[in-house]
Amino acid sequence: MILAVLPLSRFVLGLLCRLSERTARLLAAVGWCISAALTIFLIVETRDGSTITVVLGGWSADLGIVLRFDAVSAAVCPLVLLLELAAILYVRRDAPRPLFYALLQFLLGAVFALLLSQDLFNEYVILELLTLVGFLLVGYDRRPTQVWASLKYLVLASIGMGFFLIGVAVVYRHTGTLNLGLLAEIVADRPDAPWVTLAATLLTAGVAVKAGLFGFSQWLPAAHSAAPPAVSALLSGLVIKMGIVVILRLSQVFPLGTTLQILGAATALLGVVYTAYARNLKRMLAFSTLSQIGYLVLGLAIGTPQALAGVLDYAIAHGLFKGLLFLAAGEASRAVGSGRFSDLVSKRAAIPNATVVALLVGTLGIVGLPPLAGFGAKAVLLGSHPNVFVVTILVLTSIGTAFSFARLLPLFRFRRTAPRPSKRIAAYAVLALPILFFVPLTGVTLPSLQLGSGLRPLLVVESVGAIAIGLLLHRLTERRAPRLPKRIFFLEEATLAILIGLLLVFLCLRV
Amino acid sequence: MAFSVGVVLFGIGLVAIAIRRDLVIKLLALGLTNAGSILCLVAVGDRPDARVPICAVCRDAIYADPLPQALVLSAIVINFAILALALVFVMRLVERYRSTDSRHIEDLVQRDLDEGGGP
Amino acid sequence: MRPRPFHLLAIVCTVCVVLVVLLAFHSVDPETAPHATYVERPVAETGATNRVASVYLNYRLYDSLLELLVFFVAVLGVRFYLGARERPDVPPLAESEVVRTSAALLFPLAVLLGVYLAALGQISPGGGFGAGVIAASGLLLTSIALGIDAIDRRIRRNAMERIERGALLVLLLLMLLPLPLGRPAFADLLPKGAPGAVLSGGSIPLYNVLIALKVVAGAWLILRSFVRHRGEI
Repeated sequence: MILAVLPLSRFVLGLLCRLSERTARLLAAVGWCISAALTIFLIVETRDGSTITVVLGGWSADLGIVLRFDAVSAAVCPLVLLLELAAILYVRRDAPRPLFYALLQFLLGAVFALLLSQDLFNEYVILELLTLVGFLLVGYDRRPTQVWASLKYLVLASIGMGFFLIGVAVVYRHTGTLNLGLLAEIVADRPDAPWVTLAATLLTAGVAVKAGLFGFSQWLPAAHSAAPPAVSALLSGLVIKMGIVVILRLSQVFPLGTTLQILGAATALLGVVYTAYARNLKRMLAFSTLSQIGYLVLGLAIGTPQALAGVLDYAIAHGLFKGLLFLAAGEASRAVGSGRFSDLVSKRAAIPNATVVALLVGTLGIVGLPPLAGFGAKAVLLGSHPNVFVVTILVLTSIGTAFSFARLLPLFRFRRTAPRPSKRIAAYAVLALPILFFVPLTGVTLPSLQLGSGLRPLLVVESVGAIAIGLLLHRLTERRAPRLPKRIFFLEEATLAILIGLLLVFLCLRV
Repeated sequence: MAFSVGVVLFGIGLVAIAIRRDLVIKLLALGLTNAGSILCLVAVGDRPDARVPICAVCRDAIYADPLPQALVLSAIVINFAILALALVFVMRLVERYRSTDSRHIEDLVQRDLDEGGGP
Repeated sequence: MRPRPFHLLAIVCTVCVVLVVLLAFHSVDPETAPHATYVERPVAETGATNRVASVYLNYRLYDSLLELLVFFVAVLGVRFYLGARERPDVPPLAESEVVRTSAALLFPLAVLLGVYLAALGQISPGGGFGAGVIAASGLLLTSIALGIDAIDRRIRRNAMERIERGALLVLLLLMLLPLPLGRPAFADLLPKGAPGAVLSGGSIPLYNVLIALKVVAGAWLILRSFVRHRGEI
């Protein structure tokens, strides 16, 4: 019954947000408290693995829209709350207009709505709402680079959602329902029907544009790097995960296994290659999001319950450290005046200490140093015994990530002069503490995530080894940086990439 | 039949987005893709010799399926909203870069990024 | 425009996609044609004889709410990005007597049509969205004829903002209202009425009117922003 309140309360507050900045901040705090209270209540209610289901309007499942709070919702809601808190604390210093807080409320309302949704068309509408709000937030400072990045995002996302809509049409024509649960039953009966392949292709290709898969999401590097820091943190940490959540739900209906493996592997590897050679910190973080999404999709491809827990763990962990990295990178870039690595290293005396610490914690998290967040999550993923192909990709990506983030090492050296202190320590702390204490914290609050299940001493050796190899490679190849093709991120090429990607997905599903 | 037309319209719109360089044409093409996908959705609710689904007791004849029509209402409004905003952003870009050529704008944006390196 | 390899590749890929979709879609007829669930429901469930209205304003009201929010966010966005440079006075282009007279005739018709569609959306085709758009078009027509300054003097922007926000807030609160009363959210609390009557369909007429208000305010705010930014109509 109260499931509906979770998103709707946000929408109400968003509407009220216009009067003054202080009112808007107060409403943001109120919204956070309401959502936190509801989330805690719902997580406690479903601790034993049960789910809470509601059909809006009180109709039956084939007539109305179904909302359900399940393990996925329970896992991601805390991440939403943490990221929101960090973002609100971060932007306090900038005193943004009430419009920013209103957009934030709508964004979060849409995120909660998507986490609860069990209806295909409902997901379509929510994804469009997320696109729109994200698009406005990316272009918020109205600088031309941001405007162009967000326009690209909008056009490509609309194309993707157009495919999704046709997929919805195909599904409805052949099943008469849009409820995910009912669809899963119907598809399980006849998984080889041509319409199943077609629908799966259209729906997956459509969501892939929003989910951050390489080839489909060519808008991502530009949009996530051009956006204001708090927005980047939310987009990379949260909104992109919503696409993954939809793919997760789709994979529970359609047989997507092999396709996701190939997509995930391509995303992870190609993403990490671009991460390694990006010259701007925020751009590198954006590419890194691409490759980490590849991790998540590979985990989805494995399909076992433990793999699913691993995916959720890693989604949370990545949200935390990527969010932290973007916030810190934003402040660092602002302090130095530029986001390029050469400038950051040469003028690192200007970067506040807290920011450097935040960057350090985030980096340690993303490279998977035990026992921080990234390591714990990877442990669960690898503990689900994936096949050799997946393990290889994961290991290679880990090495690549360490290689890429080794470029931040010069920033972490001890400085004699103390720059002016950062004013955003609270925001960093909100994200950094869960990263550092990830395993014990989530083990207590979210037992369904099975943290600690994959921990083996060998894994520690593997993780540290991957980091070491990455650092070593970075040392060895320090001077040479190849030029990677940038044209594939332009608008027209990106459109073509979506088309090719769709054909490839169709072929994968056929075979 | 209508479904096929919808898919073809969608395809034409896609090709136009990929090929034509003018931003306004791209937006028109986006509108065309939206129209195509909406047509697909409505076509799915069609039945041979269907009547308008306004009836107190709907069992005596064949009525069109009301669900796709209801879904399409939402889709139309959403697509309108997206196009309006996209147009606003295109206007913004044109004011700044004095051009509606997407390639040209990409190059200028690239140059802005390389120069500024900015945050 | 010389055909470059990229263009050919794009055309070829699109043709492939279109063919794939069409062939896969038509390859098999559904063995059991999906029964039109909503049409077969008894009218007493929702009270509305217009089955489409019963779907999007009762069974799937949540989707309509989300879509209205999309529209609202779009209005916010348009005003934020265009509002920075509003031209204070926009002199109307010289319009002929014909335009002015016909606008004066058509505007009340547009408003009347909007009211009709909104009020009777539950028993005839129409509904809040169409009503709002028609009324906003009437406003635009009048602004073409009389000039935007004349309209702005009569219909204040703040009033439209408040109408839009207010309508949406009332809608949200109506949807949450059943909760403290022990019913599920989005439930319809009003009596269903006799099928085919003007006052039927439970809350559907109320929703239609609120949606019409929101749409007319929102659409007018968007149109107005464009006119003000451009500087002429």
